[in-house]
Amino acid sequence: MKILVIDDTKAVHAFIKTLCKGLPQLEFVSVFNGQEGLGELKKNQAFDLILLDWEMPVMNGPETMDHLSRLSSRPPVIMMTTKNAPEDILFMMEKGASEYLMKPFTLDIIVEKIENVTGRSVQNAA
Amino acid sequence: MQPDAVLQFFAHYIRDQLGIIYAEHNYFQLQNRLEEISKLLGVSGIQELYQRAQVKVDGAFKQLLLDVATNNETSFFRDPKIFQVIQRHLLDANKATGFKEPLRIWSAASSSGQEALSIAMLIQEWGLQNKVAVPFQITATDISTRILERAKKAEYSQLEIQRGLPAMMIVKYFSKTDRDTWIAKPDLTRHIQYSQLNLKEPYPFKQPFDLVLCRNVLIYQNIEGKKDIIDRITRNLKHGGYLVMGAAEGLLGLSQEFIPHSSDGTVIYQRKPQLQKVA
Repeated sequence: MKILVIDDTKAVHAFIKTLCKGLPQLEFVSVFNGQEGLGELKKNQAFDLILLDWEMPVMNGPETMDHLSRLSSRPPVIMMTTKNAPEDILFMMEKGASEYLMKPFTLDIIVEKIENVTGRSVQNAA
Repeated sequence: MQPDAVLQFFAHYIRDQLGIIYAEHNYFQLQNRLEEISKLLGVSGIQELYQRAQVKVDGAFKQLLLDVATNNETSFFRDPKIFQVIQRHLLDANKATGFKEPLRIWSAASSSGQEALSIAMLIQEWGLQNKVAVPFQITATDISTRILERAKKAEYSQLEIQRGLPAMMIVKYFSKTDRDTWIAKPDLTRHIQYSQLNLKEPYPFKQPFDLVLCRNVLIYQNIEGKKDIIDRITRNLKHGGYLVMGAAEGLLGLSQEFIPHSSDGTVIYQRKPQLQKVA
């Protein structure tokens, strides 16, 4: 399963890779803002999922979501952010996010959300 | 590690009071829990607890011992398949006829309350999707008064709320506090009553239930303890009502009163209908 992680913080990318090191079937591609993320998608890489941060320079989460919504096809998006107010969640879900992951989180939580959104078990992901 | 004789004393006490068996290879767990109690009671350690127990085990000491002897791990919609099975048998099956009486549901060993709230959300969501009014009442019991107080507050940390709940359900059924926790909304909690109950002591219920959830509790009991609790639950379950157990549990060898309904590896037990008297 190929996951595009769009987050401006290096430590977050490192954290996710460390957290998920027991799940070798998950492959992560790291970029640091929405514009880089859209660039990766344009390369026609077959991503199964996007993990999207909110507050980023150049292009933030909501702006990225707006661009993604205009694509004819795109992977599902799970927001991954410290913003945890109900109105934040509703805002991004209405923009088209499939799920919302509040930082900080544990392995079982991110695995559950990935499996629910993709409909696939990460243990058996190819 | 505490001398085995002291731990054995407490293990036997818990076994006699609750039927919970601590095998010797789990004595380290028991020791951790006794050390917790020592701190809560302000005594010097397990040895002093033991000396106190030689005189009497009562009051706060007894309650704490029983509280920490139970294991309180849970999450929302734990073992999601069982909730689909509950929906099929308890809700879908009655859609055509409607619900003339409130559904009575018992969450036995409800721990911090996620199971009772999950059932409440299941029913609310089903009612909305099917445009059917479903009156219901959930009785949530646990032997631990400490964990029941937590369940009554229905307040969960950010980690706890994300375990088992999609984001839209969190927003729909919970309010965020300024402590970065989430509290269940009154529209959900008004359906749930909480009370302390030891499954090995007499049950106070005046009416039988439509559904009883008794999950991952009997695993701590020996055979006789399991049979006793199942018998008592059966007497408080309507004929045709349902019993749900933990994913790794079953009624084989424990009761002849139930019909198992299996779906995709998940089992729900239905109490057999009352035998009709032949005129």
